[in-house]
Amino acid sequence: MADQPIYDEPTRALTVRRLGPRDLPGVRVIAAASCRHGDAATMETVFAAYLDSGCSFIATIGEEPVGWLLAQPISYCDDAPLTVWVDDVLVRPEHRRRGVAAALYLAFGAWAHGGAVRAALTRFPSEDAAARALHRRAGFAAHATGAVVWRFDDR
Amino acid sequence: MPEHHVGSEADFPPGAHRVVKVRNIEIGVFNVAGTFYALPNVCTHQFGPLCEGEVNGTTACNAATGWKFTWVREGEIITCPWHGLEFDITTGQCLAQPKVRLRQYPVTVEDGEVKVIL
Repeated sequence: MADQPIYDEPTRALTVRRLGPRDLPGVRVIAAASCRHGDAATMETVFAAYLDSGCSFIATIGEEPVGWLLAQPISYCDDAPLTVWVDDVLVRPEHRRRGVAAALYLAFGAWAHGGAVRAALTRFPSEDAAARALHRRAGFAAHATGAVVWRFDDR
Repeated sequence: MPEHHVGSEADFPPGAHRVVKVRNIEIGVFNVAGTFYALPNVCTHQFGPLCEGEVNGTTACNAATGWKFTWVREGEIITCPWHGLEFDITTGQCLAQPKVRLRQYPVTVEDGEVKVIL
């Protein structure tokens, strides 16, 4: 039998947006696919906190949730986030190496540049070469404390 | 948010503070006269390790001090070891920039165990 041609699905648009109330089911899907954040009750309280902080993002392909960037302010100026700590950037395993994490950081950076955020910081294992490359391309630089810092106050 | 166990009450006698790591962030946990506080270990100035600094007081000069420089708030102020920026441990407020404040993480003490809510 002749080989059947393989047709790829038409490319679906990758969308990144601020985490919103309607994203709880999507967050559950991402957490379940990546074995994160424990039981459903814990997931709901974690989601509520990140939702309240207003600094987190979710990536979807079509309607399918594929990744998140979870961040919270660690300092404020007049109640607006001044410094933000990125707690987690996660892409579902089957959607990795497709630029989803980079897109999440692109959206995060656009949001931060548009507001009063002065810098974002995070920390990851130094031996994680992929994380190092991702954060370097996003705009983070090594900091003396061992964290990496992305400054937005040089505009 | 989930509670994270950071030590026993005995690890934080009154006046003591320690930096602990919760997930990927460092948090300074303070015992100020029996009340626990938790602040991020990141100074707002140049992101130095704020909570590794000294806990002490600060100087004030106002009507309450008779307009004399007076040492006040002993044990309630954390000073960044890099450039000396001071923060009120009990409120997270930066003394030099009152509009700026650190996030405060809730701390619970239950059965002698100290937990930070992140």
